[in-house]
Amino acid sequence: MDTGNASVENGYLVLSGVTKDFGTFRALSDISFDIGEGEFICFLGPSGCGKTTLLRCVAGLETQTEGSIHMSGEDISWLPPSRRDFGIVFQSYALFPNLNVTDNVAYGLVNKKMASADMAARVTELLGLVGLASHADKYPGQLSGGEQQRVALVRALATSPGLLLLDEPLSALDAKVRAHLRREIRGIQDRLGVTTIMVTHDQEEAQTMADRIFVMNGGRIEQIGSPGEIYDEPATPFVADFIGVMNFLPVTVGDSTTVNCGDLQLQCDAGGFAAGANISCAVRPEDVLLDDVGDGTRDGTGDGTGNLIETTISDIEYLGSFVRLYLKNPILGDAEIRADVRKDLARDRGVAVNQALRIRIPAESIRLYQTGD
Amino acid sequence: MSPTATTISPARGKLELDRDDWVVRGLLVAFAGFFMVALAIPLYMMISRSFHDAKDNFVGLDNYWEYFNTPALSQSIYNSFFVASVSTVIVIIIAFLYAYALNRTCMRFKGFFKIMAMVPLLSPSLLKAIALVYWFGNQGVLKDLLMGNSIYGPIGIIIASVFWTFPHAVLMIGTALALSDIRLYEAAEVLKTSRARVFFTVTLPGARYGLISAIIVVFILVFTDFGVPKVIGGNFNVLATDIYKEVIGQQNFGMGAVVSVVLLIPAVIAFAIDRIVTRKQVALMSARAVPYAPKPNRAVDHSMFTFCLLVTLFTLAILGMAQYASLVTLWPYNLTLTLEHFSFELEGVGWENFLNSLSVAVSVAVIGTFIVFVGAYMVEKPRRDPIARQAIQFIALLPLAVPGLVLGLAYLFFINHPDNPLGFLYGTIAILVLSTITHFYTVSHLTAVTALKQMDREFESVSASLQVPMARSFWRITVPVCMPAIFDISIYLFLNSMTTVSAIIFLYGPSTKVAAVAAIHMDEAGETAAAAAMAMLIVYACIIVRVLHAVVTGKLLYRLQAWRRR
Repeated sequence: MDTGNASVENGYLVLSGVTKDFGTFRALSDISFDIGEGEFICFLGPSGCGKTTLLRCVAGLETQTEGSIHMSGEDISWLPPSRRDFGIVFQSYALFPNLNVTDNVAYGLVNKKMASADMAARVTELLGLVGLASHADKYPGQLSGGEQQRVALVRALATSPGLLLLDEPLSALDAKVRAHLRREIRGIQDRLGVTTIMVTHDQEEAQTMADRIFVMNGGRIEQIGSPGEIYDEPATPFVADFIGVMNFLPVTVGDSTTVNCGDLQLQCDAGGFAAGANISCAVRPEDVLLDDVGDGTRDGTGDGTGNLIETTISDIEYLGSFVRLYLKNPILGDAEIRADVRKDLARDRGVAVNQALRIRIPAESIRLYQTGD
Repeated sequence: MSPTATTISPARGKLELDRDDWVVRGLLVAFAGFFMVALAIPLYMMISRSFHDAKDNFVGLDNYWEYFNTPALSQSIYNSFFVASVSTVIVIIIAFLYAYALNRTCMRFKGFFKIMAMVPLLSPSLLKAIALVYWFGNQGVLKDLLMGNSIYGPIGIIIASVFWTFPHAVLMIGTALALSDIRLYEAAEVLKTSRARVFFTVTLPGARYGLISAIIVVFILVFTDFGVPKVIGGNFNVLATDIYKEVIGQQNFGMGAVVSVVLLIPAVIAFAIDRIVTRKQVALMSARAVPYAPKPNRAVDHSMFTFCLLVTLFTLAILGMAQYASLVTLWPYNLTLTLEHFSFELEGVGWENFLNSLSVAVSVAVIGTFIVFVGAYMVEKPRRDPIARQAIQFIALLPLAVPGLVLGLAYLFFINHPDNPLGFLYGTIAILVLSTITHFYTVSHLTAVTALKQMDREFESVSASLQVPMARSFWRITVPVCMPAIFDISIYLFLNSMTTVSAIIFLYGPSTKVAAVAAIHMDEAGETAAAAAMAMLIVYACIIVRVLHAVVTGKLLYRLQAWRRR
């Protein structure tokens, strides 16, 4: 498991050994990482994984039971929120309903004893940044959800904090607005270079926005990596399952190049496991290939290394640009293999329920995981 | 090398306190002090007094022994339970029907009936008793309706109690009936459920907690009320009038304390039951619920209209009779109208009583609203010191369980204690204001907490992240957003301060007697018409202030709360 080796000297934001207990429940256990200046980080995980608690610990809204937090070289572990240098945006926006957009954005500036002309200029600049200059006199209740979220964002950025914290900022919006705001937030972050942490349960959001994703589960960080690494090389079965879709088959290690699923032998790199070990074999649905020709290739031109499985189609889902097939085989018992097939291929092949289908799983697409934890 | 290498932080610790945290702590200590002085110490002294004799020797349970062996006294326990139970049953049935008509039918003139239901709140409870005397007393207009029974006694107490507790019951049951998901009814209809079965399986269970709360609150109100039995109880003694007689009539403070404890215990138990039961309440209205909208039904709508009209006529008959009583020269012999009863000729009574009432009510409304709202904010919003904040929340709920008369007597012991440095407050407006704020603290507090709970929990977090002091956010955000609730609290405190007698009757001084107490005294002296006149002054003031309040707050809210409009 890769939780990153935190070193106080290097990072802009460094956590080491952060643990949070609520009574007997351990919400965070021994979290350590460091984040570079200007990075966009996503804490990604299912609800209850501790990602929001972790964000609130960074903000000082929760207090860690143990561990330390350093920001910009300074120990902020025990500083109250008001003495930490961050701006925060909540899922609910938390815009002050009785203040108009300008006053909301200027709320933190007033406290900085800024000249009112400077303040007005700053507010105008910020509202320009998110294209809301014409809404300056409106109240939050008169804005759409997406506009409110933008106001909340620039309010948090107004005082030029060293760290921007986003707590599920897009969850309350509908899909189209959300997709648009993703790019907009990321664009603003790039321009201002502000170190940002965003909490989300939406893997697509994390993958489109983050420089690095911290996948969390059960109060621990399961994996830290770029969006590509997280998808292509999931470090744990949890990450493999949580990010994208994954088929899992229970297998027994044969030798260093094969695993067995019942009578079925699959070629793959099993070098890291002892022969006879019961492990789990993972394949992405898009890596499951159709094999009509029977020589181990889809179109008769491949290397034909095997890994062929005879299956029956039990169900078909149409998912826009591709079709997801649910495939059964007596060896697998109740388990089904999901295979994603391009729409045109599926149409040419004329897939139908109860049809027999031979599939191939390329050796290089197979990932093996220890089971039992 | 980074500076952090030299500053090793402890592995475990607590967040440092910032300025706001100290402000919160200071205020929590101040509130603890407030409740010690305003509630805890006085109650302790009163309870302790019930175990001591007149010379302040500890006598254990002797006073209680004497009490329960004096049938004339202990009979009152039964009497109090009797009138409270019967009144509760009657008022709950009437109030349920009335609230049902307001919330679940297409009856006409709902707005009018809503206002009329609240009218009894504008007058002291003794006024209803006086009006009943004119209707049904020995020289009453409708005396024959009682078929030889006397209005002085349980009958009068029950009728007057039903009348004055009616608005409280309608408010609580109405709130419960107002919140209902129409989908439950649609589901029942699709399943072909009969109307009666829908009523017993959907309507009634939905309003269950509101009903239980209303039953308990009405019971406590009647059980502990003093004004009604004082005026119309005759020889029918209840606990509240016994306390008054023991303390004022016989100067037997020890026995007064004993009766107070006897009165306090059932009130506390009922209150505790209410808290336990309603804690199980879960929100029936999810965010996705569709509010109930009644459909027209001629038969139901018309019969409900008739029913509400009858209730309203009764209300008007009571108020109208009180008004008439204050204007008639000498009932029933000389019916010419006169204003002479408003000149208040009785010794020690006059317009200054009315002015005192206004001073007390305005002070309570202003100071009380401030204290209550800041207290509710301390309970609800800070993140730290959870135990201290929960303790304050718990204490804030207690005054509801303490009958006014008991609180007043407790203050009397407290303020007259020779060692009390606050003794100089006896008989001042200040002590009347303090006792009244405490007496009506709980409902105001709950209103404020409800309003604060509806605000986004993260406002305070955002303010802290923007390094804006709590006090600034409190004035700039919290107070403006909660302005409707703040106005509600202030009017609630004003009306109750104008009409209450129970806590005040032991505490006023020669120059600080208030109108409601003066009315009691005039009634005691046989000056019933003048008593009615004094009580009507209270009604006028309440109506005027209520209307002014509605107009001013309407205008003010419109200006202050432009943000609520789209």
